[in-house]
Amino acid sequence: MQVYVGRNGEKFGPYSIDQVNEFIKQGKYSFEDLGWHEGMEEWKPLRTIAGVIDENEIPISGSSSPNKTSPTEQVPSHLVWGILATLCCCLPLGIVSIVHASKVEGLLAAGDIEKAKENSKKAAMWAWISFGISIIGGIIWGILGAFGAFAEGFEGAY
Amino acid sequence: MHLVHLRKVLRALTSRDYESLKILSAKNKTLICLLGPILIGCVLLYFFDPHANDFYPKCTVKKLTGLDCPGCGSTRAVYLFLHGEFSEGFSRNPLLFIGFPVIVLLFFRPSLARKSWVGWTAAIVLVTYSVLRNIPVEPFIYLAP
Repeated sequence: MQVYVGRNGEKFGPYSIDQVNEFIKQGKYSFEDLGWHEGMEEWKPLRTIAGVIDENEIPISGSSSPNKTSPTEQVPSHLVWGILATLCCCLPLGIVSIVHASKVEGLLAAGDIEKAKENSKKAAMWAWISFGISIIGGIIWGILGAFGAFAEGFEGAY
Repeated sequence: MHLVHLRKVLRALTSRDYESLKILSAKNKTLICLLGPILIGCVLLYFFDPHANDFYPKCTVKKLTGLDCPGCGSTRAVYLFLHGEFSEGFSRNPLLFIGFPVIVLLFFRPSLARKSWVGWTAAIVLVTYSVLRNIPVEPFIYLAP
């Protein structure tokens, strides 16, 4: 796909999408500059064109981390989900997820990427199992409660 | 940065420009999927008191074991907060008000969420909190919902 870039009424290009991304990274073009490729009805800002990098993916100058391309970047720990699963879903399974998440960094540091990925996957899996059980349980209790199945005895389970 | 994103998404949705939604990162898609339910939840909570209405989802652990989990009291806490009763809300689940900012921070800083010590700390805090808030003696009763 060949993209033309429009800036201040002038047309540049055509470029490949990779070139455009490179120019944006260099600061030559901004996300607000217009872009057009074949098939588009009108010019639109570059940020709306499929294939153009996400604004968030551009390293902020000054705070660019040296480990941007290191393996740690590619193995998420899913810790947020583990914590949410533990907090919202009240299940010990959430803790299992957190423990798996915590192991990821150490394994990566030891160079055991396979194991790290396995733990990352398990962290996500247990978090989702925890969410699943809690949602299903929650719905069942909710329905029973709505029909007045518990007149008392379940106060304060919210 | 994220507000800019949100505006972009709203604009794309209102102009039916679904093509441009495809350039969103996975993180932003997750964020959008989370914001909807959170907003609906807050509106529901504002109008219906969880102390008096039975239709809210209930904590499975609490139902099965009778024990308070680390999340118990959160629904009521949010309700009370939405109605300006901050100290009452806080006492429903004190950890929520420390935990929520931490979760938001970890969400936006995945590099921090990958740190081992963060994970272990979270696990220890949550387990300790679950145990403590079930001890029916002062001062621990203040941790109960």
